[in-house]
Amino acid sequence: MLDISMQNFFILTGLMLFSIGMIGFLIRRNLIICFMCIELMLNGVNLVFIAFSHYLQSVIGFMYVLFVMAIAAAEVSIGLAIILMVFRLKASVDMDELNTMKG
Amino acid sequence: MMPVYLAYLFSGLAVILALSTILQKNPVYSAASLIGVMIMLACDYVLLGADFIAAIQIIVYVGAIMVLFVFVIMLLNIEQAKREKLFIPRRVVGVLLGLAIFLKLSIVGYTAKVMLSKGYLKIPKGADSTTAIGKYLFSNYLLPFEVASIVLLVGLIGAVVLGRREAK
Repeated sequence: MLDISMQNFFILTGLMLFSIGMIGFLIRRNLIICFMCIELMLNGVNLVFIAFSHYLQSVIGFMYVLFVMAIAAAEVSIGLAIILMVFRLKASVDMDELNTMKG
Repeated sequence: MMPVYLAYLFSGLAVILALSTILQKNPVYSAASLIGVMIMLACDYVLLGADFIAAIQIIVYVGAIMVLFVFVIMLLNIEQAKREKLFIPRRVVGVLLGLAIFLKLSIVGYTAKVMLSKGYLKIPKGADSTTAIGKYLFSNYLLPFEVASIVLLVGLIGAVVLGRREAK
């Protein structure tokens, strides 16, 4: 369907999504937005998996994407429960105010 | 040549919406932008011949994960966000680190050689990807499939235990 020269384009898109997610994780202070940036990074990785799987005509990339989605669902449910607990404890979701351990 | 232009359109929109995700002040707008990114990626997956993964992307990510995010944003009921200063030194460092990682990954990606004839667990000629996924998911990948169900069960129980209020 798509010719081989498009492979680099999809990989570039995946890399840009991963980097944008990482920059967002580093510069934002809101816990929920940082968590969304992790999802963005996972999506960039998934796009690279699918692109390689398409051009190699192999099913392995699809399998990895399925398992990444399952793990992401479990991770989000646990992580949001932890954020809710932190909010009940400190009444804030600002990362800079969670400094009781003086990291 | 139509799929090529569609690929440019979907991927460009995905990158723009991703930038919008990390630059919005309001978490609700941020979540909406992230939903847009995921829908655009599902369109890309359709172009790449992964119909089943595109459907799962919409159902799981947009239908479950992002709805959970929006629920939690509503539940937290955050008062109007205090004015964040735009330029603090940590942000400049973060942007520089991110750009360095991007440059590094691009160099590796463009210089690595991939043997295009060597993929294994091939999708058979004429079969669609859904058939191949079903065939290999219940034969070669049966153990990871079962383990994923246990991981999801652990996530379920953990969310219930963590989210419970202390009983007095």
